[in-house]
This record gives sequence, structure tokens and C-alpha cells, in this order.
Amino acid sequence: MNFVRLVWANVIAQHKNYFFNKSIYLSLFIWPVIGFINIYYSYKPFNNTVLLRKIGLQHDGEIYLYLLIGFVAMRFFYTLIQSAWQSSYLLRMSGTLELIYMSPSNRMGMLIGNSIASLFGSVWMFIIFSVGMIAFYRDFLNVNILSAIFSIILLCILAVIWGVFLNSLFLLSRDSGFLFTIFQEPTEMFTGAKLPFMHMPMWAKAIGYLFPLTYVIIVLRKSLMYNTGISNLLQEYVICILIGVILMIVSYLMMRAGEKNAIKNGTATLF
Amino acid sequence: MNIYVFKANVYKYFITLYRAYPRSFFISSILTITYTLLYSYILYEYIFEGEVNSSFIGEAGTSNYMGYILVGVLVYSFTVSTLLNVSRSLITEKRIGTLESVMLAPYNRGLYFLAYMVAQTIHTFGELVFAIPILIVFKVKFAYFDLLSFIIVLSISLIAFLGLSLLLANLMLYTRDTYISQNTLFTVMFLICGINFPITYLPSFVSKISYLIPLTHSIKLFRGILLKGESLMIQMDSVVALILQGIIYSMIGFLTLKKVEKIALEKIGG
Repeated sequence: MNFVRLVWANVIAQHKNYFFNKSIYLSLFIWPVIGFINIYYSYKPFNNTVLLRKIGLQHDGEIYLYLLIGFVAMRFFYTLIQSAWQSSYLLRMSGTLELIYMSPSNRMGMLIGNSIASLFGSVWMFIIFSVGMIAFYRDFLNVNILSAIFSIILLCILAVIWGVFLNSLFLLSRDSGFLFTIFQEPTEMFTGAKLPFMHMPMWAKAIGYLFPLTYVIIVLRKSLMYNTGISNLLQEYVICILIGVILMIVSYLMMRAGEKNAIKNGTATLF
Repeated sequence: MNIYVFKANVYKYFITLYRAYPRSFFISSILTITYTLLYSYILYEYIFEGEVNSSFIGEAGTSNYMGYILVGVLVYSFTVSTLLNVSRSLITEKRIGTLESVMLAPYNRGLYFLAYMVAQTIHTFGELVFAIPILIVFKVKFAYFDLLSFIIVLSISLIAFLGLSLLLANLMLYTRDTYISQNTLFTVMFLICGINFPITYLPSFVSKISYLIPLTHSIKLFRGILLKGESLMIQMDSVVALILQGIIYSMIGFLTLKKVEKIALEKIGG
């Protein structure tokens, strides 16, 4: 019970930290919309039939639905990268990190709370995008309801775990801005969010296989556009769950290492 | 001529860069260039098997897709560095607490900004040297290169970017925000100025807006002289537009700066 209270308290604290003025909506909504329009146009110089043949679809519009699904999933993860980075230095700067280390509260609760807060921040954006998706592309949607629900739940859970992982990573290092640069672009590029994953070069796929987002995008596209049932997605689901478990263990170990390091060197309040 | 203002600020710029941010600025801009090119490369080479459609060739006037992207991305990243550093100069003074003393000093504003501009240009060119290996990796070829036209286009682009930076500097100083204003401007510019696709793809009212941004003309001119071998005479309308925009934006920038400075000083403690 204490754990749940702690998680919730962190959710509220983080939410208050970010939603203090309206400009946040620019970064949460307008920037992604512009980002997607840009992807849309970056496909225009090419001959769509080549791609349609490769991904087994017929209409031009299906390409953009295909890309939109990847894009929305990517934004889910991206919001967590951004907030993990911000909260890591906010916690340090305001001295809260030191207080948390001194209190008997559960540290994992703090990380999970931080992560869930930013998920709430992006859920409304997800809803707007989804309504748009259904309105524009309803003819191209070929949904398997059960696997779609399962995939969306998986998207939320893995995004939170990814946030926990990054939060713990940022606890290790003061130079978190650098990590942000390193993580942000590969997440867009190699996970198939902006490109069809299966048709990327081998070396790019090799990097992509390391990111949980890659599998989430695959199951989302298959369950929303190709009417693929749960039984045919089992392999991907198992990989997702495995990655989730591994990430949680790694996060726990890194959080402990970060805390030990901070206690030893007294760097918890430095930024 | 208070040339010492100029010299002192160029010196200050490099000292700050060298002592406070030896790596981070450098790495992030090179990474942005590399990632954008990588995305286009995968799209072109692997997904679409090295072919662009005829409408692209018609609109862009070349089938050299990677060359087209590279020019766009390089000019864009050049503009972004300039806008970032020149416009943020005053608000940075405010943040580190030196704005008050700068305002009290009898310095020449024009030379102050010019110093940042020149220092930034040298810095960016230093970075671009490291972009040369990228050209080789992505197999980009420039069919035409005319040094004189290149220098002319670069110089007039710099004047126009200076004007745009002044406008942004005013906005930043007035709103006391750098994050939202700069990122919104950069995302919009990336979309509408013809960096990775021809602006004719956009709805016509958007492309009309894009012609008000100097970057659009600058990229068009650079592509003309590097990819298509067009002389500047042929592209005279873009040259004139770029020069005019540089002059007009700089004038508006300097005139409003006086007012914004006053407001910034009033709010200096807040």
C-alpha cells in the first residue's frame, strides 16, 4: 500500500512540475504533429508502389497509416526519454534526490512514479491521434480487436518500463544531456517508427532489435492493419515481456549503483 | 569605429566555448546532420531501391537525391547554429548576470552581434570540416562547384541569417524563453523551407510563408550552384529576395531591440 502511495505521490509531483504553463502543449502536441507531416512529405519523392509491394498493402493511404502507427508509438516512448532526462536534473538541482535517498521510501516507487506521470502526459495526445487515425484512415484499418487491446496495453507497460530504465540510467550520470542526444534519434530511426523495419539494412535492424519499441511497433501494425490474431503474435509478445523483465532488473541494479555512487561521492545535489 | 567591441566578443565566444562546452555543442550538431542523412539514405537506397519518382525530378530539377538532402541539411544546420548562438547571446548575458553591465557599457550593438555572428561562422565551418567524411560515406557527388558564386551566396545568406537572429533575439529576450521559441521555429523551418523535399509539395499558402524565411532562398541558391550548375544571374530573384530580407529583418531587429532592451532591464530582477 505504501508503495502505491509513493508511486502516486511521484506522479502528482512530476505532473505539477511540467504542466505549470500552457506552452507545454506546444511541445507535446504541435511539435509531434509537425514531425509527422514532415515524415509524410519525406516519402513523397518516391514511387509508392515499390513500398506497397514490400509491405503487402495496396493503397497509398495505407502507407501513411502504417507510418502513423509507428510514429504514435514512438512519441509514447519519446515523451519518457524527455521527462526522464528533465526529472533527473530537476531532482538533483532541487535537492530532492538527496531527500529521497535519506528517506525510507522505496526508490523503485520513485522511478515508476516519474515514469507513469509522463505517460499520462502523452495519453491524451495518443487519444487525439487515434481519433484522427480512425477518421482519416478507417477504410484501411483491419483490426483484430483482441490482439489490438493486448498490444496497446503492452505499449503502455513497456513505455513505463523504458522510462524507469532511463530514469535509473540518468541517476548514474550527471552529464545526462549527452545521453539524451544519444538515445533520442536511434529510437526514431532504428525501431522502424519512421521506416518499415523489415526492409531496413541488416546493420540497422541489428540495432533496432535491442529496443523494446521495435517489437511494440511490429505488434501494433500487425494487429491494427493486418488483422493478425494473438496466436500469430505470440513470439513477439514473449520477446516484449522478456525485454521488460530484463530492463526492470537492470534498472534496479543501476539505481542501486547510482545511489551508492552518490552517497560515496556526495554528488546527489550537484548538477 | 569601436573595433575593440568586436574583437573582445569574438575572443569571449571562443573562450566560453573552449572552457565551458568543449564537446557538447559540437557533438549534437554533427549527430543531427548524420542522423538526418542516415534516414534519407536508408529511405532512398534500401526502401525505395535508389530511385526517385519523376515528379521529384521535375520539382527539384535533379535526380541526385542524396546531394539534394545534403545541401538542405547542411544549410539548415548552419542556420540553426547561427540562430541559436546569435539570438541567445543577450539572454545568456541575462542568465549569467552580465546583461546589466553590458547594457550600461557604451558598446555598439551592431558590432556586438556581428562579433557573435563571425565567431559562430568560424565555429560552424570548423564543424563542417568533420562533415566531409560523411559526404564520402553517403556517396554524395556535387557535379558543379563555382567558388565565387559559393562565396557570394554564403555572404548574403549570413547577412539574412543575422537579421533573422536579431528578430529571434528580441523574441527570446521579451518572453524570457529560449526552449519553446527556438524549437518551434526550428521544427517549422525544417518542415517548410525545403530541406528534405521540394516546397512545391506543400499547400500553396504554406509555401508562400516559407518564402518569407531567408533559409528557403539560401538553400535554393546553394542547390542551384552545387547541383544544377545554375549561375547566379539565372537565380537573380532569389539573390535579390535574400538581400532584401537581410536588410529589412536587420532593420526591424535593431529598431525593436532598443525597446525590448528597456523592458528586459525593467524585469531584470524578476
